[in-house]
Amino acid sequence: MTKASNESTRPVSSQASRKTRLHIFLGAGGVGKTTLSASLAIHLAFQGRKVGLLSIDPAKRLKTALGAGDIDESGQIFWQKGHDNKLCSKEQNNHGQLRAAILSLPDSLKRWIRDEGLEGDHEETLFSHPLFQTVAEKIASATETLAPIRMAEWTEQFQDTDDLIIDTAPGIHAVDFLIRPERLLAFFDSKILEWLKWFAGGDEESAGFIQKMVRGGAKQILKALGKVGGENILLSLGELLLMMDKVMFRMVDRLEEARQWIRHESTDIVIVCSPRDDAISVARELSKILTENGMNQSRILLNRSIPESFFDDQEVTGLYQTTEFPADNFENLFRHYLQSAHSIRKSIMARLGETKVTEVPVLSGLEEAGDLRLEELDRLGRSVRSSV
Amino acid sequence: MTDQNQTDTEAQQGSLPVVIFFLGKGGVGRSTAAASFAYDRSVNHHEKVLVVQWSIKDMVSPLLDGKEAGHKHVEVLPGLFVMNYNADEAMREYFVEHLNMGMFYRFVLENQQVQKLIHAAPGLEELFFLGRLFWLVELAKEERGIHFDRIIIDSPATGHGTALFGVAATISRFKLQGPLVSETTRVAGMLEDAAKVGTAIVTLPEELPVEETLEMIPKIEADLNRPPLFILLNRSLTPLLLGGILTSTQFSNEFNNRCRSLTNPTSRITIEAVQGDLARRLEYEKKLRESVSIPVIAMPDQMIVAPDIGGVHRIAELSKSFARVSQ
Repeated sequence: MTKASNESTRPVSSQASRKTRLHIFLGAGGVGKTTLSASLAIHLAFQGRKVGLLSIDPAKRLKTALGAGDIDESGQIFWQKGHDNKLCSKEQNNHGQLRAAILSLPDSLKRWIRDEGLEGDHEETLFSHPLFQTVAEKIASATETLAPIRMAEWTEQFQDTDDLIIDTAPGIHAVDFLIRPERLLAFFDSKILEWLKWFAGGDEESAGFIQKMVRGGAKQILKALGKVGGENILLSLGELLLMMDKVMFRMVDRLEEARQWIRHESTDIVIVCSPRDDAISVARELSKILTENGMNQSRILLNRSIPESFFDDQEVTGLYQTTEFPADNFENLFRHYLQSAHSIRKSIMARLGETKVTEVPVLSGLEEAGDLRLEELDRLGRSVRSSV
Repeated sequence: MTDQNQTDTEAQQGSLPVVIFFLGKGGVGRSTAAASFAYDRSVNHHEKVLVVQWSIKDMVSPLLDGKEAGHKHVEVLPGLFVMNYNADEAMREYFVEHLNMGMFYRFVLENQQVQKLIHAAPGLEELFFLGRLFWLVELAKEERGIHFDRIIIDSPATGHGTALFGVAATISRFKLQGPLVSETTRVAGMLEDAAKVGTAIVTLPEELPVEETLEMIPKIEADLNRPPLFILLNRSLTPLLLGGILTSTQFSNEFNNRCRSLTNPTSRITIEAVQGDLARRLEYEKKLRESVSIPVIAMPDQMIVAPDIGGVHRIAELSKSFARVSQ
C-alpha cells in the first residue's frame, strides 16, 4: 500500500481487530472453496458490510470466480455500493464494499520492506541477496504458513473491515495456517536470531557479563553448525536478519495478533467438501485436527450435494437403471449413476457422522467457470451464510 | 478398454525407475493413485514396494485397511510397506546413525534454538527428505539389509512437491561446506538419473486439475530434463463406457423427454446438473488427452461401479487400471 496507509499502521489492540469477523475456508482441491468464499464475500457486501476477501489459492481462481481482471495483493476495492445499486439491499445506511486480494507473499514482503524505508542502497542489496531470494521463493511455496501475517495486516490497513474472508490453499496442509502460525513465530522470536545477527557483526560492545557468557555458549553452537554446513551460510543469514530487523519485528507482532484472532470464538471456519471420496477424507481429517487443537468453531459445507429430497422423488427413482460396465452409451452410465449417487450420499452422510453439515445443492450452470455473475454469487452466498 | 488406452500403455514399454514421485494438487486422489499403483506392483508383479509420504498424517495405510504408519516403515500388506517421513527423525538418523555424530546431534542440533533455525531454513527439510530417499535406494541394503524394488512417493500437495527437485540448486547457492554439500551432490545425482527416478502426475477430469497438469509438465521437464512417465487420471468415465472417449454425451430423445418433464422443478434442475457434471468429465479428459504426448492412464470412477465397496477392495479394483503398464 501507499505510505499514507502505512502511517496508520500501529500495533492494533486485540480488541479492535475483533471488530472484524474472520471466515476461513478450508478443503480439498476442486471442491469449490474459491467460488463459495467469493460468493459469501459478495453476499455480505451486498448486505451493506465492508468485506475483505483474501485468496491464498495459488490457482488464482478468484479472478475467474469474480469475473474480474487483475487482482493483486494490495486489497483494492472490487465493488462498492453505488456502482450498481439495484444489486444490493435498499437500506439507507448501506455502505457495502468489497476489497479483494490474491495473496502473494514475496510481493507483500517487498512492500513491507519498502514501508520500513531502508537506508541508502540497503533495499537493493537486500533484494539481490541470494538468501533473500531463496526465502522469498520458500515463502511463495509455503504461503499458507505466512498468510496470517497478511491477514493481521489487513485490519491495520482497512480498520473498518466488518468481515475478512480467507480462501486457503487446497488440502490438509492448509490447516498449518490455523494450528501452527506459532511455529514460524517461534523462529522469529527466538534467541538464535540474536546470535546470528551478532555473529554477522552486531553490537558487541554493549554486552554485559551474562550476555557474554551466553554468547560464549552460542558461539560454540554456531561454530559446530558451521562445521556441518559452513560458516558462509550463517554469516549470510545473520546479514539478512540484520537488514530485515524492523520488518521482522512487525511480522512477529502480526503473527501473534493473527494467532489470537484465529482462535477467537467469533471466527467462522468453513470446511468445504463435495460428494467425492477424497474430499470427504480431507474434510474429516481437517475437522479432526481442528478439534484436537481446541478449535471447535468449524462447520462442514457439502458443496454440490444432491439433496435427499431428490431421491425421494418417485419420478426420479423411475429413471434408475443398472447396467453392466462398460456401458453401451452415456445414457446407461447416467442412469446407473443416479442409482449409485443415492448410495454415495448415504455413505458420505455416514462418514461425516456427527459433524454439523450444511448442504449447498448442485445447481445447473453454476459449475462452469467464468459464467458466474454477481447476482448468482450473491444467491449462493446466502446459502453459505445461512448456515452460520 | 479403448484404443486410446491401448496406445497409452504401449508407450510404457521398458522398465520403470525405482523411485516414482506421484505429483498432483490436493484432492486429486494422489494417495489413492499411489496406493493402487503400489498394490499393482506388489500383488501383480511381486515386487517389494514402499510408499513414502510427507504429510501431517499417513493417508495411505487407511486406504489399504492398515494401521497408521510413522517415520519407520510398516508392512501394511505382504510386500507393501508404508512410511510417513518426519524431518526431525530423518535428521537424527542422518547425524547419529549415518555420520556417527551423536554428540553433535545431542548438544547442537537438539538445542531448542537450533531446532527453530532448522525448521525455518530454506531447503533443509527437503534436503533431508531426498537424503533419506537416497539412503533407501543406495545404502540401506548394505547398511541395514533393507531393500525395496519400487519406491512410490506420495508427494506433498503444496509447495515442497515440485520444490523437492530444485532443492540442490537452492542449497548450492549458499556456498555450503562440509557433509551437507556431499549430501546435496549425491542427492542431485540421483534425481538426474532417469533409471532411478521418474515422475507421474495424478489429476482429475475437471477444469482446474487439467489446467494445472498442463502447467506442471513443462516445470517438471525443466527441473529434471525429462517429462513425467505418465499421467494418472482419477475418477475417469472412459473405462466405464464401451465407446471410451468417443462416446456421445447426448441422451436418446425418449429419455431426454422423460428428464425434461419431471414434475418437481428441483429434480429437473438437479438432473441437468448431474448430466452436465458427467459430460464435463468426458470433455476434460478429451482435452487432457489432446494436449499431452505422455501416456494417460484412466482410473475408473469406482464410486459409480460399486459405491459400497471401499478400503483395500476398492484399491484392488483400481489397481487393475495398471494391467498394461509393463515390467
